[in-house]
Order: sequence, then C-alpha cells, then structure tokens
Amino acid sequence: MKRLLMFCTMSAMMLHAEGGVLDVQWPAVDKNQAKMQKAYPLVLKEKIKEVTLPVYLPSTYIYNQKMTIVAEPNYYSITIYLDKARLLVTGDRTYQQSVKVADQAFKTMMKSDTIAFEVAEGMLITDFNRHGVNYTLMLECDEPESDERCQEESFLRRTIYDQLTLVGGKR
Amino acid sequence: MKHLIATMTILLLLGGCAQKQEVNEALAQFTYSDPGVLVPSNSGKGRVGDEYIYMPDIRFPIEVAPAYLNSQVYGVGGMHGAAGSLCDDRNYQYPWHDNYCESRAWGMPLCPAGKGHQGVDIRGATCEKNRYYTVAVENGTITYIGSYSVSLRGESGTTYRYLHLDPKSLQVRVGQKVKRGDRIGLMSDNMGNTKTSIHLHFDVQQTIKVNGVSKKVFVPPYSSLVEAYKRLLQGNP
Repeated sequence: MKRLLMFCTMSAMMLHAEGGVLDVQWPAVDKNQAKMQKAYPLVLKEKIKEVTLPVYLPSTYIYNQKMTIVAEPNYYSITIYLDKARLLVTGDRTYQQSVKVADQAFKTMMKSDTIAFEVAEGMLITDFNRHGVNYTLMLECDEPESDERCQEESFLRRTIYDQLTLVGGKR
Repeated sequence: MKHLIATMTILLLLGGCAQKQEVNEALAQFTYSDPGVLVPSNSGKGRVGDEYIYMPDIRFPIEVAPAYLNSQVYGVGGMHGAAGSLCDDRNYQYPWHDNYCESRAWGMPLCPAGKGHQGVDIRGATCEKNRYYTVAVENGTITYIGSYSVSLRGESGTTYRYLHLDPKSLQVRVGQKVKRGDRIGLMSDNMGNTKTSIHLHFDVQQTIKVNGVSKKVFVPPYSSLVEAYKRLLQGNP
C-alpha cells in the first residue's frame, strides 16, 4: 500500500524532459569592473566573450594564467589548477527537466535558499542559483582524505565563494 | 555456384539465429530490483516509485557487458558489508540494486532521507583493475579532468561524472568533443592517494525547473541505466 501511494505521488509530479534556456536577471553594470576586464588574461577574455550569462571567478584567481576554459553560449566551466588540487567553476543557463506539479522532495529542494558546502566522494562541492541561472563550485584534491581544503568548507566558502567576482558575460 | 550461395545463406541464417538466441539468453539472465529498492535494506531509504527516465537513449557507460550495478559500501568486503573479499563472486552477479540514495553523510534533496549517494556504483564483468573501458554516454564535451574524476557535458546540457578511472588510461582531454560510445578511460580503484574498490561511480547532474525556479541536482540514474544496459545486451547500445 505504501509503495502504491509512493508510486501515485511520483506519477503526479509530472516531470517533463523539456529543456530550455533560463532567463538571466543581469546585475547592474559596474564601470570599475568593466575597466578591470581589460587586464584579464587573454585566454579568459577570449573564451568567455560569447557566454550569455554572468561569468564569475574568485578574485584571487582571475589573473591566474594557468586555467582551462570550456565555453558555450549558455555554459562555461573554468578549471583552476591549485597546488595538489583543482577548482572547477561552472555556470549554466540551461535546464533539462521541468516539473509542473512538484512532489514534496522538489518543493523542499526549491524552498531551501541556504548554500550547502558538502564533502561528497572526497570532493567539496556547492551549487547555487544567482541571477536566475545555476553555478557549481567543486574542489578536488589529490589527497582527499588528508587535505583540509577538501575536508572543511572554509577554503571553498571563504577563499572561493565569498570572493566571487563578475568577470564578464554577454548581455 | 548455386550450392555455394545456398550454403552461405543457410550459414548466415544459422549465425543470425545463434546470435539472436545469445541476445535472448543475455536478456533473460539480466535481472534487477525496482528503482529505489536498496539492498541490504539497512543501507538507506531509496526513492521508491520514481521510474522516470531522466536520460533517455544514453549509452551504457561501460563498454562491454556484463556489468553489475550494486553497492560497494554494503557489498561483500565493503565497509559495512558482509566479511569477505571485494572480489567475491556475490558482488559480480545479478540482480542489480539501485544505490543512488544509499546512506551517505552529504545532502541529497531528492532522497527521502535528505541524504544519499549522488550517483550509482557499477562493477565491471570481473574484479580486474584497468581492464574495462568507460565510454561517453552522450555526444558532448569533456569539461573537467581531476585526479580521479572526469566530467562530460552532453549536448542535452546534462553533466555526467565518471569517478575512479585510471588517470594514465584516459583517452580524452579537457575541451575535447566526444561522440556517444567513445572511450573515456579504464575503470579502476583510483581516489587520489587513497584507494577504493574497483568500480565506476557514475552520477548525473541536471537542472530542474519547478514553477519558474531552477536548481541543479544529482538526478536518479538507475532507470535510465537499466534501459541503456538492455540496449547494450541487445547489441544496439
């Protein structure tokens, strides 16, 4: 009976595999930021110029020459190579599923506006929504069980998340 | 000449029949528990009833069958499993058991307990390290390579993560476009400087929009993998 009820609930949530592009609520233009962009590494300036969502990077690493960028109009991922660790910053304007009638799990998930920094599979990861689009920060250490950066949230929260700076994006 | 053609036709037909019989046998042998049913039952609270295919038509992430989707932690030789070797035969047999919501310390909003595993663990045909290739499940781009993880962003916008691959075996680089079925790397026990059991941890992130609000989450991959595995067994991956 319990399983039947659960099944009915799941059926009622009506997931649809209809993807699309999310609307961006662009932040106001900051003239100082625009000036600073001129000094960014060429790889950063060139790769993100067609990205149609706000591009964020932690301020400490903006001028880092050693970064790998994969960019598409609705998505970017930037890998920054740290000592014995890699930081991945992604921004994504797309969605893959839509739910018309949400089940309890989806409702709870959407209500939560706290940002969780969690260690999962030895990596520290956080996802958050800003300007209507979704961002992920992921830190992977070579020594996941002994490297404090991958065990405690402070590095990812204070040095990365709290220092995120808007570095570009095509309005 | 006529005899030769007739003989060849008969041989081809016999070959086709034998192949069809093999496929039927492989499919008949493949058994799996329902999505969300965790084994052993104390391994967590599964997302029972969610049979929705989040990733239709993906290629199974391991190149060849058989493969066994079951728990590492609660399997034989696992941290919370029965005593024995990780290579115990019981870990390498059907039925498959979902482990997407298996107990973990980290948050998983789609799991009934609010915590879960993010993805599923899959073993290869045998307990051999660096023998079985993982492959791209969808056309896409390799967006990240870490010390023990590889991320593929499919053309659908879905992100697939492959964990514990042997870094020396990787066939891809960051930014490379891959086609569905292209080799990524060999399944191993790599987790940085620590070791895990020989398996592929495979997880899937999608953005879900609910009443105008969106969130990126790890979605349940089990039902999609069951369908993909059936296609692999049918010889039509």
